[in-house]
Amino acid sequence: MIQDIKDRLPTLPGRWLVTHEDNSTEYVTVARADEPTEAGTSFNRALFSNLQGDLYTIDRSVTPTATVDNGTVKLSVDVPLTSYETGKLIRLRMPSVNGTWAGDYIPYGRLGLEEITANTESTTNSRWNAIDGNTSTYWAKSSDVSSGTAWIQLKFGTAIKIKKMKVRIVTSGSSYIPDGKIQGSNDGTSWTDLYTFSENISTLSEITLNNNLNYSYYRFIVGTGRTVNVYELQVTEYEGDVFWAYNPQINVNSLGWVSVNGMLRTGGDYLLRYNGAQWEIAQNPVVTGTFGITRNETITVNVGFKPKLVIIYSAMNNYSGVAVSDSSPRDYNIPIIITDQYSGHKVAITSTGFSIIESGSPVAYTLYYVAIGG
Amino acid sequence: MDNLIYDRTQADVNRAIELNSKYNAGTITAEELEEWDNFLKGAIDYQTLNRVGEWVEYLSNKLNSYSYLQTTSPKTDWVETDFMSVEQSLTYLQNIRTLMNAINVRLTAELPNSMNKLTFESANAIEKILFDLDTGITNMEQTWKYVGEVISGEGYFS
Repeated sequence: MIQDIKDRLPTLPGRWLVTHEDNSTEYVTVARADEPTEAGTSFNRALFSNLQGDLYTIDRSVTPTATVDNGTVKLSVDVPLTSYETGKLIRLRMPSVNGTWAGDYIPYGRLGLEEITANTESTTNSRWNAIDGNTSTYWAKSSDVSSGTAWIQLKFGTAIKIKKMKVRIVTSGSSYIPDGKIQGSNDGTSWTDLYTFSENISTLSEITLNNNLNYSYYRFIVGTGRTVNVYELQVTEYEGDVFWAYNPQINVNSLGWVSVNGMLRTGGDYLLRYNGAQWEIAQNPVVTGTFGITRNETITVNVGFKPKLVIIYSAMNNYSGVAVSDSSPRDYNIPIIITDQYSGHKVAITSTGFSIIESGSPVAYTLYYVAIGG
Repeated sequence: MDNLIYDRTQADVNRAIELNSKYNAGTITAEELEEWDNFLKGAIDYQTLNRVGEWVEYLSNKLNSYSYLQTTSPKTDWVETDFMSVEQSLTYLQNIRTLMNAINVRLTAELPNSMNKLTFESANAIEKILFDLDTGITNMEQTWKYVGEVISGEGYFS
């Protein structure tokens, strides 16, 4: 595993504490006086960084400067090298990238959508149809709901300012939806009107929201029991953090602006390598290992990074070794899957690995794991 | 490089103001003019800016050679007739901040946020930080062990 090497930084170099045979102590300062004929190679950060092999580690304090140029993320990385050699690795820590983004159907994954809910939906026309990119499918309220409001709501991980959307929203028959609205909220309780519909939008069309604030929640709401089909709710312009930089460009000194073959997530830690034409993601950390666990024991496993996904499993066909479910390890071989989005009450992702609590089996056993970063 | 200056006092500032006034009034003596023209400890001039720039360049290169990678853009060719722009002042401080972030040495001063209305204490702080960085790096160098000296599993007393 690539290590971040650090030198010792003394404030009193050469100072030692000497303990005499009578257990008395004294501080002494010792300086070299060995008059070497050869200065020698020192064991320091530079030596070990080079020994790790073709790795130029960007110091953590050097954060790429991110800009947005006509919809393309550009990451300016100052690597203090006179030239970069193809194939060498660069460790890149993605910064936040804030800006205005516009374009057809910005993917909800890029916006950090966490949840889509609705207070009603039919069994055949679920809420998911409203954001599937298909203008023929739609969300419709349940036939059991004949009065009251109907709404469909999007919750984002980080508040963003949605400025424009493309929508297709149609009521049954020819009646318009004068009270249909798009609203924003930061608590899911207090809502601000951002757009009021005055007529059906029967073909996918762009609307501009009256929005100058960031919201975590956005919803379409219509009242008085109207039957309405929401075919599409697409975001086409917003301001905020870019969770994923799609094919960004990186400028590393001698190379100039070169695209990255892949997606980089803000806050992510990547190893990149230039292959002669593009930057490619060389490695997402993957660590495997084993650990033993006994009854009522809490085990913390350190893998050196905060994993995105951990799979814990037991040896197959080993009665005494199988375990695991999230509720408590039991005698069946079902792997536990932990992500940074989900932690059960017995398992959790930690900043350096994961933890697991055993509370069932009377015997000690071995578990295996795969921890994946990125 | 010239030695860093971080012990300016109010008296130094008062002296600089006094000589400036005499120069503007035309009452400055030859001896005072030489003092005013060559070196005013209580004033920030192009020599100060060049001195700081040279030290930033020196420390940046040294840190890079030790794999504490960072990039600075010091200016070392200030002349007497130059005026520092706002952008240049931001770069001036950011260079030092970059060095401070590159290595975790003990610092005995706080970097000012701005060059606007710089006091003598802030001017001292800028150069004291550079001195602390140099001291910390030197201390680090003095503790390195060398190939051929270390034996695995044994204590070592240098």
